[in-house]
This record gives sequence, C-alpha cells and structure tokens, in this order.
Amino acid sequence: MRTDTVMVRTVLLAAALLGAAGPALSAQEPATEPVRREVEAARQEARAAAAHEMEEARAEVAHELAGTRVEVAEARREVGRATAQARGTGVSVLTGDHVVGPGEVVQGDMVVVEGDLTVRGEIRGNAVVTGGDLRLEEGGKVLGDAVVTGGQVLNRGGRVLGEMLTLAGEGAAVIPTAPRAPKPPPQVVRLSRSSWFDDIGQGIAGIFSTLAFGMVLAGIGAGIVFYGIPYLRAVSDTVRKQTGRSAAVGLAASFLVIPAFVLLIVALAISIIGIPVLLVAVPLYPLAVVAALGFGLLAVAHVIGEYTAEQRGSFDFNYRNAYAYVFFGIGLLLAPLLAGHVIGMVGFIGWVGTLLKVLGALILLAAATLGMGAVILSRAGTRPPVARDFDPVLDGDPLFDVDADARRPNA
Amino acid sequence: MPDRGLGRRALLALVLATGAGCGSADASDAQSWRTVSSSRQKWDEKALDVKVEYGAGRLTVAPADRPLLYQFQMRYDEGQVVPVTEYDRETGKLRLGMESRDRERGLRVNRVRNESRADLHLARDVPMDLRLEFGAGQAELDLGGLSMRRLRVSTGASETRLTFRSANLVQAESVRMEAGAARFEAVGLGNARAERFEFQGGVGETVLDFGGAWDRNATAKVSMGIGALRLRFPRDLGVRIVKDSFLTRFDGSGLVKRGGAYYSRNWESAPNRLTVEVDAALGSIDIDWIDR
Repeated sequence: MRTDTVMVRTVLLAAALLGAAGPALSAQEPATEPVRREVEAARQEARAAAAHEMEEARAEVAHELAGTRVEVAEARREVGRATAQARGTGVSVLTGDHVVGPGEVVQGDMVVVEGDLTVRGEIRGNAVVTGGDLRLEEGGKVLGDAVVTGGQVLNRGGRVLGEMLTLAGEGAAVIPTAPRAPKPPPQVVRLSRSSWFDDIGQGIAGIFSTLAFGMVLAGIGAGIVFYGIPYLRAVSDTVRKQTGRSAAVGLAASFLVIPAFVLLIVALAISIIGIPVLLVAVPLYPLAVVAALGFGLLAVAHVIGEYTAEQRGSFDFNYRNAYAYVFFGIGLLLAPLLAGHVIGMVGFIGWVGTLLKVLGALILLAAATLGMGAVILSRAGTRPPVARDFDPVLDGDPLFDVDADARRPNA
Repeated sequence: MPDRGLGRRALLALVLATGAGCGSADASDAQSWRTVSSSRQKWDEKALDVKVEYGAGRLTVAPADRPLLYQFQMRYDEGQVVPVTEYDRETGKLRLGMESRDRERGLRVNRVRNESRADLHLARDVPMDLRLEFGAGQAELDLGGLSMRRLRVSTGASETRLTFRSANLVQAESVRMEAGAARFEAVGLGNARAERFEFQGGVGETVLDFGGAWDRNATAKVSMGIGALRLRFPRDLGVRIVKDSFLTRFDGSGLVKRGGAYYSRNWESAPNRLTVEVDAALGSIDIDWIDR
C-alpha cells in the first residue's frame, strides 16, 4: 500500500511540473533564445526531480517487499514447526484416501475416516481406519496398533508391531420378524466368582428355606400327634426296638421303590381288570412313597425327642409329651443344616458350612430311610413291634393316648 | 512406551466405541452381532502364555498357517458380551475371549450358544503354555503341531474334541483336562509328548485316546465321576493301569492283572510306557487297542 502511494505522488508531481510549463511556452512563441533556454532548464530540473522521486519510491518499495518476504518465510517456518509438533504428540485425522509414501515418517497416530489408508512408509503410532481398508505395502511399517472398523487389514508385506484389529458389524440389530415358539428359560453360567454378598444372600435364603421346611414338618407332625398318636408311637417304637431291621428294610425299599413301581405298572397294564386300577395307582404310588418317607422322618424325630427326654431324666409333664418330642426331634435333625447355612455366610470358613450342609442332608436322608423302613415293618403303625410298657404320665392322659385304658396292664 | 500405551488404549476404545455405537440401541432386547478379528505378527517372542476364556458358543483352536503370533476371530452378541484381546509384550501373556457385560447375572447361555463363534490360530514355533476355559457349547481343539509346554483345558456343559493330529514340536510337561457335565474326547494324546496327563471328569462320556508318536514314558491320572470312560492305547505302548473304582464296570481286555494293577502283555519290552491311575465312582471303564 505504501509503495503505491509513493509512485502516485511522484507521477502527479511530474505531471504538474510539465503541465505548468506547457501553456507558458506556447503563449510566448516569439520569445527570445534566453527564455527558451530557461524553459529547457526548468524542464530538465523537473525531470531530474521526478526521476529522483521515482528512484526513492522504487527503493522504498523494494525494501518493503523484502520485509514482506521475510515475514512470509517466518510464518511458513512457524506453520512447519506447529505441524511437526502436532504430529509428534497428537493425532492426524484425515478424511478420504491417504497414502504414507516410501520414506515418509508419521510421528504420532494417524486416523483416516471414510477412506483407505495405504502405508508404504512408517507410522510410529497407531493406524486407525474407519469406513475403509488399511493397506500395508512392502516396506510399510506401523509401530503401534492397526485398527480398522468397517473394512479390513490388507497386508502385502508390511509389518505391524502391535495388534491388528478389525471390527465389523452385521447391520442393524436383528429383531425376529415372525413370532417364535417360547424359548426355555436361559441357563446362567457365572463367569465371575461369587462375592461375599452372594454368600450372605445364599445363607439367608438357606436358613429361611430350612426353617420353612421345619415348620411344614412340625405342622404335619402336630396333626399326626393330634389325630394319630397310636400310629406314630407304633412306628416310633419300631424304630427304637428294631433299628437295624428298619434301616435294612428302608435301604432296600429305597432301591426297590422304582423297580416296584415299574413292575406294578406292567402287572396292572397286562390285565384287563388292572387297567382301571392303574389310573389310580400311578398317581397314588409316588404319594404313598413320599408319605412313608415323611411319616418315617417324623417318627424318627419323635424317637430323638423321646430319647433325649429320657436321658435328661426330666419327666416334667409340660415338656414330656409327643408334641415336644416331635418338635424337638425336628429341630435336632435340621440343626446341622441350619448351622451349615449360618457358617457358610462367613467367607473364609465357608467350606465348613458346606460340610455341615452335606452332613445335614445325609442325616435327613438316613432318618427318612430308617423311618420308612419302620413304617413298612409296622404297616404304617398298625402293627406295634411289641407291647408297649405302660407310662403313667403319658398313657394315663387321654389327651395323648386314646387307647390308654385298653393298654393299662391291670385293665 | 507406558505413556503412549494409555493414549493408544484410549484411542482404540474411542474407535471401537464409535464403531460399536451404531448397533448398540436396544442391545439388551435384540441381538446385535459383530465380528472382531485380532492378530499379531511375530517379532522376537521367546514364549507365550495364552489364556482363553470363552463362555458359550462354538470354539475352534488350530495352528496358524501364516507367520502370525496368533489370529483370533470372534462373532459375538454385542448386547451380551465384550470381546477380550490383551497382550503384554514384556511378559508374553496373551488373554483372549469374551466377558459378560452383566457380571451379576452372568451370561445367558441359550442366547449366545448357538450363534456365537470363535476361531483361534496360534503360532507353531513359539513355545507356549495354554489355558483354555470353555463354558457351554462345542469346542474343536486341534493342538497338534504347536510348541505346547503346558496345556490345561477346562470345559463345562459342552461337547469338546481335543486332538493332536501331528506331534507337538516340543516335549510337554503336562496336559491337564477337566470336564464338567460333558462329552469329552481327546484324540492322539501320544502326539502331545507329555510327561504327565491328568483328567478330571464330572458326569458324561469321555474318550481318552493315547495314540500318536510316543517318544517318552509318561503317567496319567484319570478321575471320573459318573459316566462312561473309554481308554484307547496303541498296541506298541506298554500300559499299566491301577484302578480304584466303586460300582464301576471294568473291561480290561488285553490286560493281565498282576498284584493290584493291570498290565499290557508288552509292558516289559515296550519302548515307551504309560502308567494310568484310574479313579472312578459310578459307570464303566472300557479299554480299546489301536492298531497302527
């Protein structure tokens, strides 16, 4: 801008000088030689002045141009430095196809979006391509990872120090277009180990389920004591007096229960008369087995309670009765299970809890087997093993034994 | 290197998240299948410690044909699982597989078992320890021709076939196999060139085939819960079986009982011998002989 101003000013000055002399010369045509010389001198002086001005203007322009070139060069150097710095510490993000040529070195990561990246030089960070392929040509090198989404890594002799990772989707989420048959509930496989809170949760659930089982048993036991105490006593006496036989019969029965069921079905099925019976026997048989196991378990509980009371030597009427026997026996039978669930909540001795739970389950199984044997031997309590000794406390009270009078020795 | 590692992981996570974000909507209800492929070239690795954890689906493992350290490709339901590919160059530890997104609820196996798939190829000439934990589904593991030093395969409710089609390039220290409620078949165990074999089975059908190129003596401990166990031996291998079983049928054809053990007839003259200790509870043990 300054250069233009100087030039314009010089031209205007020359024009003014020439313009002022022109009319004067034409008006004095018949002037003498001295006047002509003065005019000529004035013209030369004006030309010299204009030339000098022009020369100064040119010098000024040249100086300013030189300054501008220096500034431009400096600016370019700044841009170069900034670019190099950005590549060394950050990420170069490019769109469209890009080629890292032979001998070219990219200091940082390079990300190419919606295009292919061809590497013939060296990338000292990660090479990431989205929506395109990564082509590793002969001599191409990536010192970080090579990551491609929506494309693939095409290696034609290149080297990758890190991981070569590609990720591809299969379009939108797959939603069934037609209704399908309901699937079975999914299995759950825990990949992570159970935490301490899981142990507590399982322990509490175990305690509640054991207590619930005990309450159900106690309810059924109370019903049997109230409505069928003679039968319970008969089975209970069988357990006490014929323990070995009861156990053997119970064990044999538990092995034979399924073959006997099959045999029963076959026997009923091959006879015309048996077929209607079969319809009743099929559902009743499992019920009878479960009832025998439960009745036997309660009888064993009764035995445990009775035996414990005898050992204590306590004949307190308030406690020495069939209800107390059954409830106490159930509690004792379930105690290992309960203890197992409680100890299982403590992380570092959880294995002791597991052992106790296994032991509790085995005790229950053994008690049920023994009891079932006694149920079979006593024909569900209708055949007492031997005449029961008269108990003045229990048998004398009609509340607990309706047949007390009949069984009194002196009756 | 460490300062770059963090940035690298962040960058990869960003890119993967961007790529994954396209189909992540309603991932909990609908299945969104993705395929991830991870591989590394061999540089100067001296040994590899590989751990593969695969919850459910179909898994194959085989030697790599190309000069790669490993190549792992997995098709997975993005809504349920996250692929895992971790490698530490310093220690040589390589971890591959899947993790459930919902650790509390675990993996809903039925949703992913039928359509999930993973294929792993491992370098032949890099000595390695391989631990493979497989949950439910089918697994086809061809580990012959690798440089296996130690192997441990654990399977859950699955159908697994482990084969050594060709000889192990190095002598192995141990091959340990664990199967839950499963059908498990191991073929060509002789090619493993292992000093010690162990098998622990829960419930199911198991076949242990000790065929292959034997070049050393070895021991095997087989513990079987409930199920059928079939043991196959090459005829030229000297075999001694010590059995401790309960309610188990034992078919010791081709064996002679001496003392408390069963011996093959060539026990004294065989160039290589295998002693098998079998502990079984309920089921059957059958012996087959392989003619070369």
